[in-house]
Amino acid sequence: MTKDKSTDFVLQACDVSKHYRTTAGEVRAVKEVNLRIREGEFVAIMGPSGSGKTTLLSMLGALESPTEGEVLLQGRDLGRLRSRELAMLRRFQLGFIFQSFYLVDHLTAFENIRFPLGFNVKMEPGERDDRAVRLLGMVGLADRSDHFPRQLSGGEQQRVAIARAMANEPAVILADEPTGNLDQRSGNEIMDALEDLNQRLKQTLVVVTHDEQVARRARRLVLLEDGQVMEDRDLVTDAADMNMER
Amino acid sequence: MRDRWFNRMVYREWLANRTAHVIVIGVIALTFLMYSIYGAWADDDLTTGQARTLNIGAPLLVYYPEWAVQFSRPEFSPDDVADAAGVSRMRPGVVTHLVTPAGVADAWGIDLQDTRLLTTFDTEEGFLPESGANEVAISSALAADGNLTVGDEILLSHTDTDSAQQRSRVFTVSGVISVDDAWSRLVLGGDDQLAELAQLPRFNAAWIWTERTRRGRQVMDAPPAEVVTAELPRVRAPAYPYEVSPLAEKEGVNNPQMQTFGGVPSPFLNRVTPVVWHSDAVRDQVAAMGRTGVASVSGLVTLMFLMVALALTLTVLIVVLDRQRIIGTYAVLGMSSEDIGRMFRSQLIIDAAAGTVTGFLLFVVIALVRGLGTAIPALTIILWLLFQVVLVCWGGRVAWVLSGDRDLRSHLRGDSNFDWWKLIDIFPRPVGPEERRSEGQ
Repeated sequence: MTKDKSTDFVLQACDVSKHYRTTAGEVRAVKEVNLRIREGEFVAIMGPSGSGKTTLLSMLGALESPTEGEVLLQGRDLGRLRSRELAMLRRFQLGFIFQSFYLVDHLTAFENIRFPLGFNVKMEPGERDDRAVRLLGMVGLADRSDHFPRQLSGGEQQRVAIARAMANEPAVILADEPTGNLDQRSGNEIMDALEDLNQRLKQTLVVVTHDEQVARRARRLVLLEDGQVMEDRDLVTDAADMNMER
Repeated sequence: MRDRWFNRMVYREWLANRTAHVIVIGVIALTFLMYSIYGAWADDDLTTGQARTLNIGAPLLVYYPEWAVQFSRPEFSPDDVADAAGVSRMRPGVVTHLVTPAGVADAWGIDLQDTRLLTTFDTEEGFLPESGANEVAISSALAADGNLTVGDEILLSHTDTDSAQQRSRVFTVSGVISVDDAWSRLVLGGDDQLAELAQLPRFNAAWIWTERTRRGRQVMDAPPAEVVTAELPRVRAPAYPYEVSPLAEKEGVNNPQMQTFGGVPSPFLNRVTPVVWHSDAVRDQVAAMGRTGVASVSGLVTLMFLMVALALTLTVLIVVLDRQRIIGTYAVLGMSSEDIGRMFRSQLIIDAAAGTVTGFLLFVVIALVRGLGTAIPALTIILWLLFQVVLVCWGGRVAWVLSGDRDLRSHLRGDSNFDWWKLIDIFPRPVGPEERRSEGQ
């Protein structure tokens, strides 16, 4: 697959592979995956456990480097960036949501959201506080701002994580099993919130999941198996076709 | 991230890990306490000649008074030490032992019952050496009975009970010895020389400290009347044949493998060599310290501090490594390695400052309670500050190296491979894109 340095695609994976060396030998977690994601897309990467979906997401988010191939974010090859440039990228271009939330335990919900805003020198400190409060309200936790993560339910913690990922209005939000640690009701709430972000704010979303119900919320589904893309389909078109057939 | 928010994050992060930080502060405080006391003591002893801080200054030395004597009493020359080891080096006109507290004699291994020191002149039971120096010291009682004085020559005879042979030698009286319960006084040269010594400007008070130590820290404000308050002039003894006493032989003093000092075997084997300085100039004293026992003991104390420093360094390493997951989270949120390194450096600055202040307060309290001086020498403070800077930079570097790993996923899992080499690789070569990519593998 030829790489496209234009900004038509906000995120691209070009022949990306990832190999790990273990005591049992080399494990090929991801094999020559090609993926192009446009701005405003909501992509679900689905696959069974061990299919390489989290590894692929980590490479898309520059959390680890591919063994082969390239990952381009807004046309910039992540492999060629220095660690400081990668840090800048994580501050302003990428937002992360994890299954285990990874909130900072000793900071309140407000402070967790305010944390990445601390990097945004274009904003006055007062503006940053206002934005953190607005984001808390957006995820329905205005009354929980002074609570520490341990004082929040799993669903609430994940909503804080979503607000934190949104803080600096990133180009892409990458979510790794965002509902994995939640009960069904909380999971639905989180997916509602993410869907709302995508539809209302045109936020580009890449969600890794093994849950079919979660994947069905996306507009595009990438099916991964044994480290390879088995299927890449537009769920909106599929749904329209199904309606036509009826 | 350069605003007050960063400082707040540092503070919150410090609080979150406060147990570990309090431990670090405690270790720093105790280390500073010991180091400042050691510094104050060494400085005090060096510049004023007073050993007042000694009994808190060197808790380790309390039970090793011979070290303390070596430290504090330059008047004890190699000749004294040789004598202390039972080596007979009596020389007319040369003062060796002036005043020797019983405790010091004990610590030095001086056998007050050594026949050649005390009972040589008891011709009925005494032991007559066949070789060695022809000078002897006599007890004050014998001197009075026989109307003997320094410089007199006496013929001594002795019948060997094994061989039934009578042996005789002529000796020159070179000293008079007096002994009581607490003190032995061996004045080689007699009362005239003692009086001469009394005219000298200063004598030290090493025995006071020894007495305190031996008698459960009893403070003696004034020395006993017989102590001459005068500083002894440095008298270099000429090379002189000596023989080894049975005591010294037993202790292996004549072992040819043993270190010697000025041609005289050290009585303390290889532990400590005698301290010798008698110059008025502090610089000369320091130079002498470098050559002699102070350097040896300082080496031991330095080694002790190095071990504590190593323990502190490892504690800091563990404190930082223990935060691997949170460092990973910070990195995912966009904190650069430099910022993370700075965050941990800032936390360690808090630890170093709090530990130093606590240690200093403890030092002042102890010094005031014990009525000791509170001055810490500048060199001690400078060295301490340097150590603190190294410690803080070390912690920051560990965090920097940890967060510089491009595999942040491992950080979040808490099983990142720590690149130890990067800790010391402070001048990394420029890395090209291809190599950077391979770094991530």
